[in-house]
Amino acid sequence: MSQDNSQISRLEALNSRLEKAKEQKMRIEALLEQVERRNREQIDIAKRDYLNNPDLSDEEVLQALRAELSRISKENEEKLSQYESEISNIEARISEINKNLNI
Amino acid sequence: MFNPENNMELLKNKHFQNGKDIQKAKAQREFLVERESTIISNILKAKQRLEMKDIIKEQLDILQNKTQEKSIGLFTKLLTNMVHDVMPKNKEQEVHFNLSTKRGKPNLDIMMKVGNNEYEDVNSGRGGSLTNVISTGLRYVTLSRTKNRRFMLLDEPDCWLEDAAVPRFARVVSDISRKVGIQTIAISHKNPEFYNSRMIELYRDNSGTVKARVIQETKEDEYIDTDEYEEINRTSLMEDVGIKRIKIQNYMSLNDIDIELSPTMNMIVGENDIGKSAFFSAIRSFVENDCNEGMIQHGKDMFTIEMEIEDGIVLKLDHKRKGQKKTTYQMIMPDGETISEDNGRDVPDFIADALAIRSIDGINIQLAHQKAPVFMIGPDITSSKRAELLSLGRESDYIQRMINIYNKEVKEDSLVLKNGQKELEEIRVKIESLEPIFNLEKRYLEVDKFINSFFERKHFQDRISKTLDELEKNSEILKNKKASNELRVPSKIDIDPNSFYRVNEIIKLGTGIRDNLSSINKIKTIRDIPIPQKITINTSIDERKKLIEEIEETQTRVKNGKDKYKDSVKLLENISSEQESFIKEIGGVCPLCQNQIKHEHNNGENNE
Repeated sequence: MSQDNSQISRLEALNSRLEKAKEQKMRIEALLEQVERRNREQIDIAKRDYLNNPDLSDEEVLQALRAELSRISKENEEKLSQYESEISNIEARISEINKNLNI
Repeated sequence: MFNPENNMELLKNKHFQNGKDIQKAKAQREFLVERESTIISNILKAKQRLEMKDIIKEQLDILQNKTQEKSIGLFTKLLTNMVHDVMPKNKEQEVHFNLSTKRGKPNLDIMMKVGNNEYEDVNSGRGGSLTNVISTGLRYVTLSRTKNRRFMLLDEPDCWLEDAAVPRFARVVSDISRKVGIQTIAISHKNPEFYNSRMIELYRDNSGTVKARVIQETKEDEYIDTDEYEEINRTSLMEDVGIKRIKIQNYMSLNDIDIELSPTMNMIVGENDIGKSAFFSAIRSFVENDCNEGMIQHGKDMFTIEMEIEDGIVLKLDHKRKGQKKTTYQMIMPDGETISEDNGRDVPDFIADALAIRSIDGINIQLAHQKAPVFMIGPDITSSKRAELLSLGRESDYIQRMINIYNKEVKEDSLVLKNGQKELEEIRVKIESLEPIFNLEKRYLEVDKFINSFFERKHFQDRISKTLDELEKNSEILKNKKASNELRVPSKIDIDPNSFYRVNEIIKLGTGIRDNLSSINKIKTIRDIPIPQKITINTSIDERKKLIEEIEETQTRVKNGKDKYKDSVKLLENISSEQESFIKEIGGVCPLCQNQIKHEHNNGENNE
């Protein structure tokens, strides 16, 4: 008989854990929904503002964003490098002009 | 990730410096362009001026000659007219000025032209009459060329004149005084009636004091030659030219003199030794600060001389017999206030400036002394000094300065032409070398645009990067959604205590079955009980003992096995019926694993 009671207790504990699990699941689901909503918004912004292509799928958006970021970064780097060189060229040219003037 | 911001400050500084340098270069270019324009303009002007060089020089020379001729012409005409008026027998002669230049300075010799190209020195072999006339005339001419006060003091200017000429001389002097606008005070031992003047008599009153009084006024209607002046204006014009009033006290024989002077001609008359010369001496003492104790009247401590000039201002000189500061000059305003005072040895500036009767290079034009009637024509004055006193070289000098300035300008213009072309070429080279600055400025502005947009672009990049990070993270999170959907939390388990009791019973039952089956299996092993070996003669005692023990044990085990077997079969029959009914009761499904309960009979063995 005592063995039965023990099992009943175990079952009750099991039930309690089941309840908690249910609650957690619901919270997770709510959170996930929130994330999903936020994700949707971000994707829409990305499509509209950054990619200018509303027909892309979500996965394509991520890929396109990666590509865009890479492109901009590369372009910035190239431009900076280019203008760095241009500034030096201008500097050298001015120096040359001034040198000629002093003659 | 590309992060150029660190380089950006350095670049910006460099870029900023480029901007400054470009602006500097542009300003320099602008200056050079302006300079180029100025040089071109200067060259053009210089060229134009140089083209006119010969004409201008010629015109300046002509102007120089004409100016000299004009000045000399005026003076010689005046002096010649005086000579002709006073000495009509000399009508054929003319006063001639011989103006020349020695060592860059004008020189003047005054001659009498006695015939065609025949000149005589004005002083040599000529009578005193001519000397009197020309000297007096020259005084008026010379004074008219200065800025001194229009005041002349003539002490016996007619001393050498023959009596017949005196009336004509007196008339000429009176006329000149009016026409030239010079107040004149004269003393003459000839008949003063000849002079048309205010006649002031020095006289001794009943107490023996020497005083002064006007005994005759100027006869205005006696001036006939009025072509050049209008009477009404002449009087008003001359009001301020000279000295209005002279007061002398205790100076030599003059006890108390107070004379209001005419702005034109004044004659001082009086009996011999009354003090006419003392009157002149008093004026000279005042003008030259030439004072001594001997000038103070006997029995008096000091003498005083006052001269009233324009605006009621009085200039005063006191000379005391005793004291540290014997001489005192004062300037007294109409209200009696003394505004300046001086006790120095020289004539103070405030007196010299107000009175304006100054010597020029040591020669007093205005105070003609009786003992020195020759003026300007004596050997004591050099030709250059004569020209200087008459300012004859003045206009000539101005024009010469103009010529010098022009020559300098011509020289400068030639230099402008020479150097300007050279500078122009240099400037043009510089301007050309500065031309690329405009292109550089365009490039600079492009860089400027980039720098200005850089942070905007960087911000855009950061936003994309952030969005991408978030999306990637979300994507990972959202993968869990699938798992979450698949996750099924079992529903609550209902608890029936009876079922647990039954289960326990069954478990017990099962356990009993398992145990029995185990026993049965063990019984089955009876078959495997080894049969001890047969005892033979050769078997040793010990082995025989061991074998006997084994046989005995085997007999026991067999007996026990038989008993257990009987019990088990009986129990098994009971369990089998129980099992059958329970399985039926639970519907043939295991309550733990939910599988179909199967049972099989295999040689009396029952497995669960």
